[in-house]
Amino acid sequence: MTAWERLGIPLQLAMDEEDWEKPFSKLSAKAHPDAGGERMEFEALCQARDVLKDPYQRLERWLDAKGKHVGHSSAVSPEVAVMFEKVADLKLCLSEWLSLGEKTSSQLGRALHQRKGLQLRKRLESCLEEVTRWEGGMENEFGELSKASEKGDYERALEVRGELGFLRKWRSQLRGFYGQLWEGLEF
Amino acid sequence: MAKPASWFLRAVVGRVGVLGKAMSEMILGIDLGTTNSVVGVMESGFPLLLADDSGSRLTPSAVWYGPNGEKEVGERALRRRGMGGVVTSVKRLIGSSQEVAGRSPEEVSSEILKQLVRVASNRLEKEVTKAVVTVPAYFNESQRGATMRAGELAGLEVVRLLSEPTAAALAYGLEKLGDEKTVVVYDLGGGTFDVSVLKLRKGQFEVLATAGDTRLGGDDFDKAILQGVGFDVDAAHSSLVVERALAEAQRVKVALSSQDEVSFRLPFLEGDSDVEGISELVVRSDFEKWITPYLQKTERYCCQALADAGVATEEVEAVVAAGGSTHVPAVKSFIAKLFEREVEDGVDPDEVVARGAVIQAGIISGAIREVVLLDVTPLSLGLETIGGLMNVVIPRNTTIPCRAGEMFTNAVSGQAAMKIRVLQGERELARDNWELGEVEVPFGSEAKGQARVGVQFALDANGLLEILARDTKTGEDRILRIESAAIDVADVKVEQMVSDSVEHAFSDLNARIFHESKLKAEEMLEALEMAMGLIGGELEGQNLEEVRNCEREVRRLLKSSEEDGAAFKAAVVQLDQATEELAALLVTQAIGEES
Repeated sequence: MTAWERLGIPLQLAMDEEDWEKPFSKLSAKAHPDAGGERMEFEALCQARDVLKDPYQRLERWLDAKGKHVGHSSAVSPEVAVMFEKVADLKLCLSEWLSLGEKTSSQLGRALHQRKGLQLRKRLESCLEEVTRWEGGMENEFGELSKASEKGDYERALEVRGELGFLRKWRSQLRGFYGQLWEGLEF
Repeated sequence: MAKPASWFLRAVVGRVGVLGKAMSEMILGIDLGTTNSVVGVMESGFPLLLADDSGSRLTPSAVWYGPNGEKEVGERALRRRGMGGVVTSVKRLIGSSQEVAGRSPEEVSSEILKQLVRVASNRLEKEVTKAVVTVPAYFNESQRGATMRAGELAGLEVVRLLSEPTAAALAYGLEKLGDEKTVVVYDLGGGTFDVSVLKLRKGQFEVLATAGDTRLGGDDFDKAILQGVGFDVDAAHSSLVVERALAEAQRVKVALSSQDEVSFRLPFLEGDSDVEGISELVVRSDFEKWITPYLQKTERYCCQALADAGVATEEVEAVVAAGGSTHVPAVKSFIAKLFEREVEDGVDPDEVVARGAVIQAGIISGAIREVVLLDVTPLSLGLETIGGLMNVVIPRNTTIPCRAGEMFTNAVSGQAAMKIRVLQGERELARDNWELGEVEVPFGSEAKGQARVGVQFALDANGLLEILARDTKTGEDRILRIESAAIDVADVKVEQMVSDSVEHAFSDLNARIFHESKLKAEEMLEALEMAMGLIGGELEGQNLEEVRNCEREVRRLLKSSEEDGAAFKAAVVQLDQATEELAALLVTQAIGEES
């Protein structure tokens, strides 16, 4: 059963939050074990919603449902390559910063360390913002992709899927870094 | 004390068929708090909190163990404070292997639960054996498991562990059923802090994200007061003196909520030579300064919860305060500033969690049918993979109940089983996370890479984990036993301390002090050079000279052949103190640059 079928809505790519939240809320209120429902049924509803919430998964399942199986592409766009480097560099800086934090014991050392941490946070935040904006831009294309598919054109959809895959991974990595940074920051 | 349940009357009448209620079974709602506990029950469609014989609905979470096996719980236990044997704030220890008064934290908690059941049985004039018990949202698996066991020890069937902020939201939101609203619950109790972001919809309250700290709360405010008045908590006081000092700090804290200044008085104790009496005036503004670091800590958790929920500050439509520590005016104004809106009034922070527990008990028993709660798991759950990394299987803030699986295969022919380490936490390295234990995944006798076992992690509505292995051939599920890792954070810390001391084992004390000071001096001199380069010009002349003098002394001793540990250490400490202003300047400037 596809995520759309599970929530009782037609297969569609361009969606707003309410498009899945409304049916989810209605169905899950009955399926929840506390309301006398079946746990498995409830869990399946949650999973269906998670798929639709995430633009990458939604696109992938949509392509699946359209019978377009995704191969691996050999080339990535230059923007992706740049971002890749950026994230890798941030990761390096962060782990260096974290390991140094354990070694500082003086007031001055700690202050300098915090200072560096704050700068790192700024970089991280702007990177995260960039990724989120990028993802949003891709999702805005969903309407176009949907239209193109009616003419049997899936080329751009497959490209977008590839990039969204990267973006999703970066977002979760950057979020993770953010959490680690917070543990070391005093302010 | 008794507050009319009129607000609730408005909310419930007309929606709950009172006649149909007679058949639903009775389940207690219990708020098992760090400082106080509360019990209640659904009565004719209303959540009713139950008072003990003295008319009080708050039972202090205190247990006294007498020398001859006597026990007292609640107010009676608290009255023996300062005479020894009184256990308070045991919730801070639950889930760890640390014992108090020779007993496990579960055992002590079970005494509190027993007392609450007694209160309920007396009021209701019948035996009740089932309960919904609240836990901090941020409790991990072993803290939840231990709370369940405490219930068992008290002869209670715990039908649900409910997150405290979720409970508070339930009590707040049931009154306003029908509105769609994004709500934040800021729950600062005696020993724990939680923040949850919820979406209230018609028929469904959903937790979007939660964050917190299970070792942050009003107890820290008490300790801050002690520090502020010059009582050294770490010094070797008898436990009696500490008990009395904490009780006095608590009194001062509470009084400061309504007065601008309060005297802290700890009279000289007869026969106790290690402490002189303390009498110190505590001004409210000082107290507020002392607790600021703790509030700043909560701010970070709030930001994290909002980010995880994908909710911006301006999208928050109501802020509910729960937990006794939100009585402190500075805490309230801090919350208001943080979320740019006033805290909802008409919510009693001491009782709102218990009310929510009672309502959840009503939902489970079928007495309330207009709403269900969707909660989340606070911490990511995963496995250790090659290289000691954590592989997340269920990410934090996933709606529960839920499940997720991984496939495992045998690495060599005929391998009978493999062990996997189950972890909970947000850190990248496996060892930085909480280890829940190991499970053994059984294989058949197939050739290498042929055996296939699907392992499923299932979190139930209590947030408790069950691990199932499915044989792909027979399709049969079986539950894998989690062998407890039997270590906890406290133990790890001790181990760390032991290994640290071994690493730097010097036979000679002087040599060790000198060596340690040298490391610190080198670090500081480097930091000083960098700091001076950055903002040295902004330092006042007098302070600059002091810093330079201290620096010269450290450099001289560093090169000196005497290797006088004590003198060197003193010089290093002096330099550290002299650079305080410089350090503060650096940080202020960095924060200023950022915003």
